[in-house]
Amino acid sequence: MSQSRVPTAGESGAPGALPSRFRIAFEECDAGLSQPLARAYAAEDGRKEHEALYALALDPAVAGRSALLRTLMDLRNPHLQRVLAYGMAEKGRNGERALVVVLEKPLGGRLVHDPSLGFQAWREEAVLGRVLPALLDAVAPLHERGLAHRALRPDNLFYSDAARTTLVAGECVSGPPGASQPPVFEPIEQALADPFGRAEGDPTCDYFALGVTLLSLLKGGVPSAERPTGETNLARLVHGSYRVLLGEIRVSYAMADLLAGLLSDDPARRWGEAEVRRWLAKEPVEPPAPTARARALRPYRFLERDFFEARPLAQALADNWEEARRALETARFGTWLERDLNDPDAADAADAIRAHADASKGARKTGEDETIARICLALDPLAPIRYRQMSALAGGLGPWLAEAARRHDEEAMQTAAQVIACALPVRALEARSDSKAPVHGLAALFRKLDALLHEPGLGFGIERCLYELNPGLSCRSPVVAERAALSVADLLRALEDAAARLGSELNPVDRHVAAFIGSRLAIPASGGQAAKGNAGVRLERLAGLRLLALAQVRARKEAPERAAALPQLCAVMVRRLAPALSGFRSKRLRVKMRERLAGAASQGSLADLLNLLLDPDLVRRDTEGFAVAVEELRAILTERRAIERGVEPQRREARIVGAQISAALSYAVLAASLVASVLGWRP
Amino acid sequence: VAAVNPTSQGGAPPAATDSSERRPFIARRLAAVIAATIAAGVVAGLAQPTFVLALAGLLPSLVVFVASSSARRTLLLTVAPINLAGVAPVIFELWSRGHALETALHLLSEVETLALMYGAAAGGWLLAWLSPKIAYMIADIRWDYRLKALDAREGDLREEWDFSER
Repeated sequence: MSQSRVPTAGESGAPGALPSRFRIAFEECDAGLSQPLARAYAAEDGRKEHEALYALALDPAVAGRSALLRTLMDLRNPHLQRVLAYGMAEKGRNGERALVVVLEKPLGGRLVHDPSLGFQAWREEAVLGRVLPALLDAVAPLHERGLAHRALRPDNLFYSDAARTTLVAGECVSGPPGASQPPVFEPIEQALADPFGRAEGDPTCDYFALGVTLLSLLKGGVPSAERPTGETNLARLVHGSYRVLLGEIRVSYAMADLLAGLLSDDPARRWGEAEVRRWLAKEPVEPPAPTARARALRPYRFLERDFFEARPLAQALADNWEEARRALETARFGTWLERDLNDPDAADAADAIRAHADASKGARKTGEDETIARICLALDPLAPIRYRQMSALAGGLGPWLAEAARRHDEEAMQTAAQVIACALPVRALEARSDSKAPVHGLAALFRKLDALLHEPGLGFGIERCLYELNPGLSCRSPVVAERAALSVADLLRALEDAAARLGSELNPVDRHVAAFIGSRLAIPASGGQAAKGNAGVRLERLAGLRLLALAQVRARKEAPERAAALPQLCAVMVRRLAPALSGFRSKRLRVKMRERLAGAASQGSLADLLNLLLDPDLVRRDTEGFAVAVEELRAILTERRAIERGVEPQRREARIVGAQISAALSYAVLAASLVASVLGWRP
Repeated sequence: VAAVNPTSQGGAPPAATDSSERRPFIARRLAAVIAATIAAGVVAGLAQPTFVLALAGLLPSLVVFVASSSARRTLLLTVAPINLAGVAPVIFELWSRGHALETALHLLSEVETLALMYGAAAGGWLLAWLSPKIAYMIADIRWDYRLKALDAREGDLREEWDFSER
């Protein structure tokens, strides 16, 4: 077993090192306890060696829910898997690190290993006696804190004891909310989103998942597993989730009421803890009435199918993007939306079509993709944002973007950038919220992201959006990705090690490093002002040094031992700053600066390097000296031009002057001759 | 340039323009010749020996006067006074010997007298030829010196400062 590093305090909410008393056997992967997005390893507590533990190493590229870890550690609940410790640990000799969560080992194993393969169906009494109360108890404390578990499903349920009597809900932090859930376990608005595009959700999502879990156990498999996901989703939108998921499964009337309450598609009417407990106590509880939905008198025919309602049509359009483009061009579509659908929300869809049509008349150009996305949003405001291949709720855009970054999918990242640039998330959030309620904080974040996205220069762009939307994501720069740096101090330490390893081949400030620092240091957008001064290699490198220096100053305040001195990184920066020295006009000063920077680099302070380069006195002297030199050079060139241009005229002038002198001389000779002659001189 | 160049506009050739400019000069020259002839006639009538001596002695100036154009008047202005400076002592000599035609002819037959008069004219011509060249050379030396100083200073500035475009 490899022992984890000495613990250090976390900075700015980022987890510190895993306490050293926990030993993780990274060489022993436990496939039985591994989660879809995290691998399990054997673990041991040095103080309580008899305790059965295991550890999950979270994938640093996945936007997990590490913010919940502190709360889960504080919870003492017999039906919720207990988090004993968490922190950063080194996974291998090459410095690879991961956020590790130490959990109590469920001695009885999983309830079901793979529900999709089918299993022995449970009787209603067993479900109601052993599963339902346990899961209610498991999620209740989370819900009291306003949190949702978002990972309730049969294969994430465990027996905590070897006798397999006590059921516990598994962890919910190894991935984004609901990312590992099969779509049927999610409420319809979350199910329509890509797995990584699901939002944090609320307790009502857990009660829906609870209902589907019960249904799975009663069926002995995943409900509606035989149908493709797209078909199931469309059927759920047309007929309701309860009807579609229940399907042919036979349940008692009482159980049917419970399932109808839990599987309601209207979160406001869905049963919560109070209704379920009253139902368990056999008190009368009315199952929710079906939601009244606007229905057109005449159908809209799309892809050989008649649509009477807006939500299924929105989904069909989103699933068939190219056909939706063609539908957009037909007058029938707009007419049906405005006249036949009889839905006030559809007016927004018609507006989107008009805006698209008006684009040629000088209005802001609305692209086809944006128009289809706006139509889908208007037809189904609760659904995710659908934009080409993307389907994500506004709250799930962060994990979706993180997943795109993990796959290095540039096209997907650009899609996310376009979605933010079109203000679709803000539109979606405003469409979902009550018009009288204040706009969601998330909408304010997306407005800020729009500015950050469009700001040119280091530390901005879509990478900045990635880190703003995922505060718990580690820096994804290829240079330091394996180090899973969650804080700027960790990042600087990782860069220092990379500098020692790679030397001058290292580019310490790539777009990810810059965006990560910009996000964690909350560097605001300047409206393009900063970029004006950051053009060119010279100033880009200076901007990179400025970011690193700011990061080191912050890290020194928060974790002095991790960012104290960074001599290797400074040495690399000095080599890379050669173009930045060209900012000085004096060549003699450049040589002097190179010597001074090399001296400062050995001290390991990036701020000192920056201060040297930006020393106002030096900069002023250089600027003033250069201005004088420019004036002098200009005077020299002007004078030379004047001389060159004036040579011929001046030569002519010289000839005339010469002739005049000779004439004057000859008159002088004449005068002398006359005087001499008068005085009596004779030849 | 083309708009103001008569040749390029198919107008009269430059020679025609020169001849039109020369016309008043020739008229003036003719008037001067007539006046000089009248004056010479008067002088020849009143002081024949002086006239003969002066005519012979100032022959180079007369040649220059006849041959020189307006542009070459400077040559006349140099040659004539010096030529006269060479002739003046001979005339005084003539006057001092009694102002007779024989004396004048005798003086004209002396090599020294001719050397003085024509040598002075030659000296004048040499002076007129050399002076502009010397002035030209002095000016060139001065400019060369200044250009070298400017080059040296520019070199120093470029060695010290980076004037590249940003």
